[in-house]
Order: sequence, then C-alpha cells, then structure tokens
Amino acid sequence: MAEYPAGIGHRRRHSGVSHWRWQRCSAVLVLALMTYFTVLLASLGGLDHDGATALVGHPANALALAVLVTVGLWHGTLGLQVVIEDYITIKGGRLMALMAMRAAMAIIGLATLWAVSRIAL
Amino acid sequence: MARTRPLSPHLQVYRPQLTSMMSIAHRASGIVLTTGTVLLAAWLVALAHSAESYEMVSGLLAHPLGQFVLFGYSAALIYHALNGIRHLAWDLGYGLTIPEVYRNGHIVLFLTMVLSAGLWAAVWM
Repeated sequence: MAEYPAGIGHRRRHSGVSHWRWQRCSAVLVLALMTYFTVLLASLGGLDHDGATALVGHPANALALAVLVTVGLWHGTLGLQVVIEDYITIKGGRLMALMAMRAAMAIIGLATLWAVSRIAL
Repeated sequence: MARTRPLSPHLQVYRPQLTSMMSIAHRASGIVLTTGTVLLAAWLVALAHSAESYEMVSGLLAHPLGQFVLFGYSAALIYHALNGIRHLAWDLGYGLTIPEVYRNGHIVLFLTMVLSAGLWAAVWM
C-alpha cells in the first residue's frame, strides 16, 4: 500500500463515491423540504405560540420537519467533513475535529427531534 | 512536511475570479447554514418547553439584530440552494463550458438577490 498524505485512504470503511452520492441525494431531499417550509413560514409571517404549536404539531408538518432536520444535518455533516479534511492537516487534530463536529450535529439533531415529537405527540 | 500543507483548495495562489469566489461562498454558506441549525433547534425547544420561553425566543428574533441574522441566514440558504442546483446540473453534465459556467453563475447571483428581496417583502407585508 502506497503512503498517501493524510486524508487520502482515510476511513476505508466508506468509499468517496458513497460520500459523494449521499451528499447529492440528501441535497435533493433538503432542497424540496426547505422550499416547502420557507414558503410556508414566509406566507404566515410572525407566529404566536398557539399558531406555531398548531403548525409544528400538524402530523404531516412534524414528520416533514423531522425528516428535514435529520437529512439536513446529515448533509451538513458530510459538507463539514470535507471542509475539515481539506483544512485540518494534523492527523490527530483532524480526527478530533471530525468527532467533535459529529457530536455537535447529533446533539442539535436529538434536541430538535425531542422538541418536534413533544409538540406533535 | 508534506502533511502540513492544505490538500485543497489552495486559496492563496489563485487570482480571485467569479468561479472560485462562488465556490468559496458555497462552502461558507454551507458552514453558516449547518451552524445556524442551532437557531432552529433553539426555536423548537423553546416552543416545546413553554409559552414564556417561546415568547422570549420570538422577541429575540423580532429584534432588528435578530431580523438581520434571519435575513443573513435566508440569503445564505437561497444562495446555497440555487448554487446547489447549479452543482447538481454540473453533476448531470449540463452547463460545464466556461461561458456557460459564467452565465449560470451570474444567474445564481441575480436570483439570490431577487428571491431574498422577494422573501422578505412577503414576510413584512
């Protein structure tokens, strides 16, 4: 096996092709759901507590929001991974940055899913 | 020594041009959008928690500074979405010649401005 600089051949469990493909697939899904929620929110303007609860609590919206946040954060994780791999060249530092970033994404995702399920259920 | 240099992109050695600037803006807006998910999470957690916490977060977002942050977030979102469509078209093999790349780049920038303005006109009306 040839000696590659840090980053190339890193994480051999997943291929670059699958990273690339999932980034595109998640992009299409996020694009559709983001458009839906942006138009919805813009048409409503300001929302009071009852209005927001009714909006997020609607089963279809709650499901769409949960999917959007999960797939969106996954898309963001794939993107930030590339940024970290491009600019953090110290091997240990890169791994730490990747793990910290993924942990932060997981915390944001879990907090959001907890909130959405509490509002909707 | 080879391990300490950036793998890509070498931002320092290129003369700024539309293509590279839009590529960097795509990354920057992606970082902003992913980080900004914290705002959405905070808004939803406050909504799930109580009417008082929701009013507090709503108040912060209604403040001029909050509106400025939301405007920035929406502009980053619209740019990243439009330039993302441009990337998906490239992935399918469309619009890859140099004149086309410049033309669709200008279209993305123009539509970003129009849609950002349109979105906030709709919100405030």
